[in-house]
Formats: sequence, C-alpha cells, structure tokens
Amino acid sequence: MLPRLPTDRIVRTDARLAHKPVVIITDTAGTRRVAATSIAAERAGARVGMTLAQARALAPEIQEFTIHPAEDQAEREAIAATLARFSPIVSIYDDITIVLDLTGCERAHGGLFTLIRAAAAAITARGYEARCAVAPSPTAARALAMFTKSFGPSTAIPVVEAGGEIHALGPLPPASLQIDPETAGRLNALGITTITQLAHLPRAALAARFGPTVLLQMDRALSTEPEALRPFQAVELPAERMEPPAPIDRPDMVLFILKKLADSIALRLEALARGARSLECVIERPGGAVEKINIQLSSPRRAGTWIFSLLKTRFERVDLGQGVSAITLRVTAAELLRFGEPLLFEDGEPGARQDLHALLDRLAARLGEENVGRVELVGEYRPEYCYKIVPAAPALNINIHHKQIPASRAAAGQPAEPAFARAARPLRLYKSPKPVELRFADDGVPAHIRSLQLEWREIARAAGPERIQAGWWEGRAVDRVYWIIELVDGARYWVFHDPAHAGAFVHGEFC
Amino acid sequence: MGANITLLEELRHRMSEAGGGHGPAARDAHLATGVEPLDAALPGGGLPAGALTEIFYNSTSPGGAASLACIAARAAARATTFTNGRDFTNGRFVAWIDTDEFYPPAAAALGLDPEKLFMIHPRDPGEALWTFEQTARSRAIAASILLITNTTIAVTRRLQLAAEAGGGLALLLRSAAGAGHPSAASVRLRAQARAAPAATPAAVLPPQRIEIEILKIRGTLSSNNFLIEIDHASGDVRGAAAAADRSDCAHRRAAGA
Repeated sequence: MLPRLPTDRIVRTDARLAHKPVVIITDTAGTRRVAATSIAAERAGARVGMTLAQARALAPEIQEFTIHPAEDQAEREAIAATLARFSPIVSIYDDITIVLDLTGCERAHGGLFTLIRAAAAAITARGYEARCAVAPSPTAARALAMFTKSFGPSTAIPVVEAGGEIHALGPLPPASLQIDPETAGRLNALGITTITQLAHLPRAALAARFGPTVLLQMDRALSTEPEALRPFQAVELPAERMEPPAPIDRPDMVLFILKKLADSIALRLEALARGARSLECVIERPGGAVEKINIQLSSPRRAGTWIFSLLKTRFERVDLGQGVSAITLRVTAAELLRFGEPLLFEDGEPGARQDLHALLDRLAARLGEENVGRVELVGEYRPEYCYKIVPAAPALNINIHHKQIPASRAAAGQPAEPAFARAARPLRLYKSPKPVELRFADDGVPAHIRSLQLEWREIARAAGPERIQAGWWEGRAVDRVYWIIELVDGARYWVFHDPAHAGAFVHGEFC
Repeated sequence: MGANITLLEELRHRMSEAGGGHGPAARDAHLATGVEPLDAALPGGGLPAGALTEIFYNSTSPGGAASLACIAARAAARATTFTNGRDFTNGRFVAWIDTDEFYPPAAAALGLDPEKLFMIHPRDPGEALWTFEQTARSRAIAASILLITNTTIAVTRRLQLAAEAGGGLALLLRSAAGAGHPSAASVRLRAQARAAPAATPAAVLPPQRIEIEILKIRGTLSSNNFLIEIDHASGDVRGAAAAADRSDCAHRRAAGA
C-alpha cells in the first residue's frame, strides 16, 4: 500500500521538499480543499477535506500542488511495472494499493521474506512510503497493510497463513474492509468495532440490514469467497517521466532526476528480463521547446548506475541555462538479456567483453560515436583511401577469444596472418600533402629536398619509385611516384612527385 | 639476518602469488615487446604491465617512437602470458588515441592487426588525456597509445594509476623536451632515428635504424642505449650492432646524447 502516493510523487522529484509539509489541492465547487497530505503536513495538522485556507492557518509554510490524476495513474503503472519482477501477477488494486500474487514466487527470490523486503525496498527506493502485508486474500492483505508501520530497515512485515485470517484481522475495524463510510459509521454506532464482532453477527441479518457488500468483503477477507485480481500488463518498453515542481537549471538537481530515472528504468528492464539497446531522453523546456538525446548501446545493458553515467556524460553538452521543466527517459529498443548476466553492479562485471562495450559506450558518449572507430582496410591504391573508419559502437561482433597462433609463427615473432600491406608506409600521414621541392640525381633518384623557403637538405638514400595511379573513375585521380627517403640524420619521409616532375610533396613521416 | 631477508622475500613472493595478476601485488608483471635488446635491458624481460611507459620523440626529426609503440602494442595484443609465465587476461585490443594523422595501414604493415585496433579521435588535448585514462584503465585493452607534446607530473601520476587499474600497457609518446622533467611513469625511453651505416650502398634502403635510450626504469639506476632496426614493410625488428663508422659517432656527439 502506498498511503501517500500523490504527495510522494511530488516530493520524490525534489530533494528539498523531503521534510516540508506538502498538500495536494483539489478544487471543488470553487473551494480549494486538501485531497492528500504528506507526513509533515499531517503532523502540522492538515487533514484531508480541510480547505486550503484552514490548512494554511495551521501550517503557514505548507506547499500546495494541484491534483493530477493522470500523473498519479502513470506513477501507479510505473510502480506496478517495477514490481513485475517479483510476481507474474501484479494488480493496481485501488488508488493507493498494489497487490502482488506471490503464489510460487518465493523460490525464485530466495524465500518469502527476502522477496517481500526486496519489493518494499524497490518502492521506497523510488521515493514512496510503503506499507506491506502478506495474506491469503487481497482484501485481507490490504486491511493489514493499512495498519502496518511504514516499511523501513527493521520493520516487521505481517505474514498471515491460510486459516489465520480471523486471528490476524480480528482486532481491525470493519472500515478496513473497504466498505463505504456510511455503513462503517452505522456499524460503529451499533458497537461493532472489530471484525471479530462482525464475523459473529448472523449472516442473513447482516446482508439485510447493511447490504451485500459488507458480507462480500468479509467473506473475501476470510478467504471464504474467492477474489479475482485484475492483472496489470506493463507496456513493453519502459518510459519514465519526471517533472519537478518548478523548472530547474542547476546541474545537481538535474542529476538527481537523472539518477532516479535511470534506476527506475533499470528495475523495469529487469522485470522484463531485457537490456536496453537504445535510449531516448527527452528534455522539455519551459515555453514548450523539446530536445531529444539519443543514446545507442553496443550491447544490451540495464544497470542503473551505468545508464546514469551515460546520461550524465551526455548532459554535459546540454545547455541548462534555459531551464528544464521535465525529463523523460524512454527505452526505444531492448533485447533479451541473457540469464546469468550480472545485473545491477558495474564493478563486479566479469569478462573482457562487458568491459569493452562499457568502455566504447563511455568514449562514444563523450567524444561522439563518429570519433570511436575500428579500422577496415580497403582494397584501394590511393593511400588516403585505402582504409576507412567504421564506428565501433553498433553491432559489435568481435571474437575476443585468444586466437590460436600457430606455434612456429608465434615462436618466430611473426604476425599470425599475412601482413596486410607488403609495402612500407609511414605511421604519420599528413592531412594534406605538403609541397616541397626535389632535386634529382642523374639516375632519377631524389638527391635533395627542401621545404619551401628553407634550406636544401641532402637525401642520404631513397627507396622507390613506387607509382600509384588510381581513382580516375571517381574524378579524384591520383598519379604519383612515391619515394621513401632517408635524410642524413636518419629521419625518413614519404614523398611523391607527379610523373612529369612538375610538383612534389611530402605525404608522411616514419615516426 | 640472512634468514630474515629470505623470509621477507618469501613473503613478497607469496603476496604476489596471492595477488592474481592485477594491482600492486603484480608489480612484477611484464610484457615482452619482441624487441630483443629492449627486453634484455628491461628487468622482468619486458615493459611493465599495469604501468605507464613514456617514449620520447624528437619533434624536429621523426624517428622510431611511434613505431616502437606500435611494436610493443602488437606484442601485448598477442600475449597470453606475462614474462613470468602467469596469465595475462586483458582483452586483445589496442586503443590508438590520435589527433588525426595516424595512418592505420602503416600499423598493419608493422604487424598490428586492424581487427584489434580501435582508433579514437579526441577533439582537444584535454579529451585526449581523458580518453587515454579511460582506455588505460580498462581490462579490455591490452595496450593504449597516445601522442602528445607535453604534460605535467600530476597528469602522469593519474595515468600511472589508471594503468595500474587496467593491467595493460599504457604508452605515452611525448616530445623529447619533456624528458628533463620528472614524471610518475615507470619506464622512460627515448627513440631517435639514426642514419644507416655509411658502408651500405646508396641504392639500398635497409631497415630503419633507431637508437633506443633507456632514461629511467623505476626501481633501478640503470640507463642504457642500443640500436634496433625496423623493417617498415614487414614489421621485423632486430637489434643492430653499434656502428663503428664515424658518421654515426659524429651524429651522436652533435645531438648531445
């Protein structure tokens, strides 16, 4: 049960509201009345049904927010989706209650108590007050939960076995059975203040005087009448939106929201047994403008810490000055995440593959995907075009296992595969060839070189000529005669001239 | 006293065994570069894994620093064990962080498999250092290479720590002007091109001669220099005999080595 869902929904988005009195206001017939209160507001004396003016009188520092049923419902659905990993049957029972059918689920989660505590922790981690109870029927569970303490590290969660309902529920008032307040009032007036007493009344008379509902609810609570749950179906791809009470522009506040979004999405992905392959983050600005950030992942991931760190890196490029009025994080593509993959903790991940994908994604997030690449050699003669850079991120399909190097080759220190280019090439190739002047000896071998305006330098020895002609079909024809030259001090350069000796350039250096 | 010393050695040995291959307990993990004279001159038989190695280049006369880095990286990418026989479990990849003049086909000619190469292009020096720190820190990368002009000792400390976390080779190519400044790197080398011996016929271009000078190895006082020859077409590297001809000696004197 989430007794304060409406106020918690607001408070969770802004850490500063944590201990302040917060109320939700609804406008009825022109009067603004309190519809929900936070703990602090209740302590200050505000009550549901009061007018706003009354509440203000009791607690001047009260903050009020308008009721927003659609957002509340969206939150309920998000919470239900989060809890889906604990049970296949999750139901939004009423405005403040979510019921999970735990039959048979204990084994998968390490026992009933571990399961319940984990579920309750998931709700409190999301920022909501939770009260939990376990019973053989939903009605009984809800009734018990109403009177249980809020979940905390040392809270005991009541668990009622079949047959123990009347004992556990006995002391509770009939109102906890969700009968309408008027009937509850009448029962009270008659002195029926506990369910035990209610159970002792003759059934026919009960039905006749108070209507069939009371009987039905009691029967449901005591498990004599079966109760069907309407299961909640999570929409396939999780999306979460958080809207702080007022537009924010401070980085720490934005990070606060991003962290919550990342954690929520992570839990929902876990419920679906999926990892995200691409995420979309939508930033809404005051004034209506919308910005989108797309993040591609090289392998399905769902760890909340890791999604948060990716978002954080991306957000460094976002201009916060204009203010952010809401942020939505949506999973746009997801894949099954293999069972047994480490779930929530990045540091403990084994295996070079996980590390590699994590590294590449981190680099791509900061530098841009186009700046993190792998090399493909292309069958091309023109030196500038004989390779291309392929972005590393999408669809990595690298075999990371150690290649079996034939023993003889390994011993000789040779590459395991044939060399890719049988010709010597400079490790540094200038972005564009630099013009130089060459003087040739009688045998056609370059003998002196100078960069424009500087001194002539002697070429001690040279290898070549290597003629490269290509590209005429593309219009970027190249017809060059290349030499590798070594100057007197040992430095080697890659130079070329055109066949007519009209112009010469240095293209790279062996460094 | 003697017994105490052996006890200490025994304890050190046990601790490094227990360490399992990464972190401070594995300070004695080294990766062979495949360059014989270099491996012979380095304690442990190779460059220290999980540590920062600086290779200084001459900014006016290119020669050998990047090629040496490429060769060491190629060896690290293929290594499955350290020189002491324990497993080297990093991923098989080499990260080359480049400010856009790096030419991958040359690395391929030197024997560095393009399948294993990631080319990362940062947009400014700050991003370049950040990227190098990230790749050095990652267990998926066997060797990271970055070429910069200069940096501070504080940065080298961070990079050294990152390399310790990652366990692979972290090769920082720096302009030789910085060799005089202190650094946290575990090994500092300088590479300089040398002319082919004058006796070689002018029409032949032999493998390029590079002089490697060991400037610093953490924990020892040695310094050393030797010649190697790199064949840029095949990636073969061998030690070369010190030249006895006068042109080489003259160069050494002129360069103030």
